[in-house]
Amino acid sequence: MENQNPHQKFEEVYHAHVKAIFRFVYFKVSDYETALDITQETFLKFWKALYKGQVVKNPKAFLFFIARGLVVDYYRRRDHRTHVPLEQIEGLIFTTDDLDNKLDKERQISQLFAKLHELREDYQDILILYYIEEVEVPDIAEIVQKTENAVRVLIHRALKELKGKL
Amino acid sequence: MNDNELIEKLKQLKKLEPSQKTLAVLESRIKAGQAMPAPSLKEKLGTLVRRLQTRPVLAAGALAVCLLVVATVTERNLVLPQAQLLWDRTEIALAPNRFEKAKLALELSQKQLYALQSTKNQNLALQLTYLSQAASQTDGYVRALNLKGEPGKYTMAQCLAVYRTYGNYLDTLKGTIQNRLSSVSDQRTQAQLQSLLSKTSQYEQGVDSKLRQYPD
Repeated sequence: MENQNPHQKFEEVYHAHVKAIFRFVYFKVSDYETALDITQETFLKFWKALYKGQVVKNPKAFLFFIARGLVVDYYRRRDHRTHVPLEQIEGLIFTTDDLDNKLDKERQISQLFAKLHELREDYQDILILYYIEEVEVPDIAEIVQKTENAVRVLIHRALKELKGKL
Repeated sequence: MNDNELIEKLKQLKKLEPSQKTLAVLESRIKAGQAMPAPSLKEKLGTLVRRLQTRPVLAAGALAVCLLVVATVTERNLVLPQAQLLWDRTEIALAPNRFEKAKLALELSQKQLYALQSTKNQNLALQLTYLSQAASQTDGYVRALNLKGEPGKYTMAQCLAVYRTYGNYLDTLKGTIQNRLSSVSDQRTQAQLQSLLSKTSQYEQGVDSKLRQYPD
C-alpha cells in the first residue's frame, strides 16, 4: 500500500470514505454547500499529503481528523451554530430496504438527529464516529487527540446524555 | 428506551447517504482541485528527504555528493588540486601548437613545484606523483620545440626563453628535492624523491645540450 501510486491510493481511499466523511461533516454543519466545501478540502489535504510523499498509515483517522478540524474552524469563523431539521437538508437520501416503515423510520431518525445536535460538540463527535461511522476506539482517540480510556468514558457519557434528552 | 435501542437508532443514521448528484459534484470538485500548485522550496526539500528515505540507491548517490562537498570544504589541499590538475591538463591538450603546449606544461610544472614547496609531509606522496607526471610531460613538450622557431607560431628567441625558464625550473626543482630528502624519513617517499631527482638530472642534461646549440 505504501508503495502505491498516489493517484491509485487516493482513488481507493476516496471511494472507501467519501460517504462517511460527507455525512460526518453534514451532520455537524447542517449546510449542503459548507459540507461540500469541507469534504472537498478534507480530501484535497489528504491528496496533498500523498503528493508530497507523506506516508498516511491510517487514512480513515487522518480524514476524520482533518474534517473535524475544518468543522471547528468553520464554527470559529461563524460564532454561532445552526440546526437544520433532517427533512430540510438536501443532498442526503435515506437508504432502507424496509419501505413499509420508511416514513416512520425517517421521523424517528429526524427526531434523533435533532437531539444529537443539542449535545455538546465533543459528545456529538464521539457518538457519530463510534455508532454511526463505526470507527474503532483507538482511531477515535487519534482523531480527537485523547486517550482510549478517555474516549470510552466520553462514549458512555454522551450516550447517557442523549438518552436523557429523548 | 434502553441503551441498545438507542444505539440501534443511532446506527440508522448511517442509512443517510449522499445522493448520486452530491457524489458527482464532490468528485468533480476534488478532481479539479487535484491540479496541485507548484510546491514551495520547503515542500520540495521535505519531499526529497522522504524519497531518499525510501530509495537507498538515490540516498547513496546523494550521500556521495554530500561527502564530496564536505571533502572539498575540509580537504581543500587534496580535492581542489586534483580538479585544477584536470583542468590544466585539458588546457594543454587543447593548445593550438607545440610552443603553447610547452608553455602551459611548464606553467603546470611550476604550479606543482610551488605546491610541493608549500606542502609539509601531508599528502607528500600524492604531490610527488603529480609533480613527476607534470615534469615528464613538460620535458616532452619542451624537447619537441624547434630551436629555430616555427613560422607564424614562435620565434627562436621565444624558444630560447622557454628553454632558459625550463632550465631555471629544473634547477629549483633539484634543490627542493634535495632539501626534502634530508627531512623525510619514510623509505617509500625517499625512493620517490630519489627517482624524481634522477629524472630531473636527466632533464637538465637535455636542456644543457639544447642551450649549447644556441649561438652566444
